[in-house]
Amino acid sequence: MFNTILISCLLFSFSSGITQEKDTIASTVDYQKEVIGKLTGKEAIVDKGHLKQRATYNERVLTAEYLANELEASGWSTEFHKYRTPQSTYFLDLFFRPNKGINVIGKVSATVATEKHIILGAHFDSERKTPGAVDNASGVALCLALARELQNFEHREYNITIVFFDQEEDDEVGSEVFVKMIQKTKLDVHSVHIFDLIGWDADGDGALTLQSPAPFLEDLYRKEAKSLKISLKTIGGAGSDNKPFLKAGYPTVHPFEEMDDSTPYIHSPQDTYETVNFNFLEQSTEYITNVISSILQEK
Amino acid sequence: MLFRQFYRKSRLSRKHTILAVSCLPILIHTIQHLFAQSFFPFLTLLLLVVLFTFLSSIKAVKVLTILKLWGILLVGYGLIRFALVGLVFIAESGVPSDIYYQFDIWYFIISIFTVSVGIWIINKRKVLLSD
Repeated sequence: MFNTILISCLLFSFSSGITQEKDTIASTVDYQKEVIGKLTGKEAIVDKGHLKQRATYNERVLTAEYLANELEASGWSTEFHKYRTPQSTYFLDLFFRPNKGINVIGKVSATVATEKHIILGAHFDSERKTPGAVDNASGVALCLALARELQNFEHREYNITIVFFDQEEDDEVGSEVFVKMIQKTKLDVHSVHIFDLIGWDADGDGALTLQSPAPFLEDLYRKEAKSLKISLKTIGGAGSDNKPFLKAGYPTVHPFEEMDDSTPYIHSPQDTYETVNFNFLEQSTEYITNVISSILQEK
Repeated sequence: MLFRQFYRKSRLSRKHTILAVSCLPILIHTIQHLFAQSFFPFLTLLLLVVLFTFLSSIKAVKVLTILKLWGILLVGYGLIRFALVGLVFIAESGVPSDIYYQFDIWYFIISIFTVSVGIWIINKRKVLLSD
């Protein structure tokens, strides 16, 4: 009798554990669907209407405020990094006002005494006349889901800074300004992880590409990819906000969707919510969480 | 009320006011850029000031010529601003969003103002010099 009760209790707690784990995975997907829905106009962003794009200054400010609220809701301290910079050429400076933008910075401290920072970044602006679902509401959703997880880690070997960059589509203006700021403040950077284009997977193989990874980061990403059976390719170059970091010499990696299987709707009005592969995004989020987790658990 | 009193006391005539106001767009533009730590418009303004000061010091160069030059520069600046709008129609996808959205009502007002005032200065430069 006692053994029956004991076995029943064990079976009950085991099944509760499985249900709880399923709820956690489901809620990450649902959260990312909500985030991408709001950023692409499928749902209203706060109570201020639907975003059709994130290209004008006012649209970007609205998006920045939403992202700051989401980070704060996950327990991160946030600040806005407002900036004005010259245009890209002297000629344009004569005829146009300076560039104006707003990066969103979220911070959570390490649980040990350290000055080193891990930087996780994604740009939140979109090209004109495009909802920018894969480019780059997907990267933003990945970062926000990461933010929810990382805040709950009992041990964090490094401080973490999440940055949502503005004006990546105007030649990485926001990230350039951010890099100048951290160079000026001499921020001690362990590694930089940039997420852009991580929502398309037409062939369903879950494969990813790493762009210009620092050697130790490539090793780390490959180790975690092996355990999750994710196929990885490595390429050179700099196609996103990793550019200014690479130029400044920071160890950087830019994981994104497979090079040969990337969204055909980039910078077009068809880059909509419906084109995002949420299973791929969820799997990639889990993978990146494991990578960052392994860095944070380092001694 | 106070402004009208100040205006009368300063003895600035309407035509001189227009001449002074013609410098406002470039002055405001320069200050906006200085706040953004962008110095090229300031250097350009400085160059113009040095150029006009130098020209005015040469006896052979008449003030009328300097005024004509300023008028031509204003018209040229305004026309280039209009030409840049044309770029948007030719190569819209290559225009950064920050610049694209600066082609607003104020951009056109300033462009029209600059061309108009430049033409007025060229045509009325003799009147400007007379009291």
